[in-house]
Amino acid sequence: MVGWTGRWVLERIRADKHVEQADLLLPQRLHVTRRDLPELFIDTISVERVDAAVLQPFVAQTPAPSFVVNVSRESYTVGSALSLAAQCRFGIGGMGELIRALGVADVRDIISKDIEFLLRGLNQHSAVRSVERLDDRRFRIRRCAHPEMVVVCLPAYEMLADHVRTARDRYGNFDVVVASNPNGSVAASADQAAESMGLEIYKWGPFLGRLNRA
Amino acid sequence: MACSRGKAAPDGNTKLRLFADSAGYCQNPSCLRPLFIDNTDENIHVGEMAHILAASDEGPRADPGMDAAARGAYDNLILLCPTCHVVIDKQPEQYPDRMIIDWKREHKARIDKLFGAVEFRSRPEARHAVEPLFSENRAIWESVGPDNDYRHDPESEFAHVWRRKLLAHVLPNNRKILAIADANRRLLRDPELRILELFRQHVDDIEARHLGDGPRAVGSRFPEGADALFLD
Repeated sequence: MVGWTGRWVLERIRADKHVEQADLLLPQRLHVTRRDLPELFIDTISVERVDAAVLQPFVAQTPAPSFVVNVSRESYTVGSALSLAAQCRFGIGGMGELIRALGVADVRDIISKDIEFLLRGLNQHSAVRSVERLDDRRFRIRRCAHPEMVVVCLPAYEMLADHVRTARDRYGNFDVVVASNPNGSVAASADQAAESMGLEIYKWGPFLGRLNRA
Repeated sequence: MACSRGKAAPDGNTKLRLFADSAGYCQNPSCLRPLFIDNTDENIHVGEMAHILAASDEGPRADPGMDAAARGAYDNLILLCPTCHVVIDKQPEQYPDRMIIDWKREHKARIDKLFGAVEFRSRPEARHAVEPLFSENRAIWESVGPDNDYRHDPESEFAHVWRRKLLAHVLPNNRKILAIADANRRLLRDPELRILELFRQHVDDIEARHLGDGPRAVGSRFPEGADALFLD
């Protein structure tokens, strides 16, 4: 069914405490006026893979989007989409990020909570010179005294081989998988898959130590 | 009582708790010898509190990084008959700490199950018994369970709180629920019996994940309707 995402999102945000009025302008576009905050133009999609090509039609609209929300739960966003969003100055994310965005003045820098925590931890690490976000969950970490490493941070509760292999399919090359869920576990199958692919897997704490080693 | 090692010796409360957990029997599942002996003249006890990880840095299954208080704490002690105590300390490679911890846990589970197995006359009575257990588990899940927002923070201390409450309350409650349900199967309806078996698998999975020796296992989620057992 074409264009269901606009109505779907509308039903879920119209009662938000920050929303004064929310209307469907187009099947995939909402206009939101907020209490004491700037109005928003929200474009809605439901795709597994978000890249620049997916976002381009919305960027061409007038007015430009304030935020593009992808309602697909099992989705990922690649670097070209993040770059386009940064260049055209709009926010991008899932429903969780949209709900948070409704309460802030500048929605362009909204990122998911777990990425926020990860970036803060990485940027504060004494062995890290810089962190470059390549895709939504893939980062290039340049270190002070050792070669750079590319890591993928996955929030799985039970990390399985499929999570590792899916990450490889989605993001291409990386060196390390970080299991970032504080309750998470790594199944033996995930360890084996990673080893077969020449990858390392760490939980967050041990990964902080790994950053200190060549 | 053996294994007094100064600060690594258990205090009075710990001794009582160990004896209570043993129910008066050696906690080696291959032994189960009574620890209180009545003969014609007097009643004696032969139970010995054995250290799981040694009381000293040189003892069997020693952990040099462990402080004296931890060595003498309840979690590091098990009640055995004199023979089993000697055997596990003379052959620490054959009796590693994980095995002894499993003995203790399984012995307690056996007793818990025994005392949980009460037959009720009616569904409301059975429901009255299981409802508080489900309620407590639900409250723990909702407040500190892994679906909460702290899951986004890889350094969240709530993960430790969840694990502590899971081990101390949720898992024992699950076992009590199973014991009550099994003792009162005749009061369950056919759909509930199917849900009960799903719940049993869920309990097994969650215990394997959090108590198992091997790599953390994948498991089934809490089955829908399980918390409505015996509910009319």
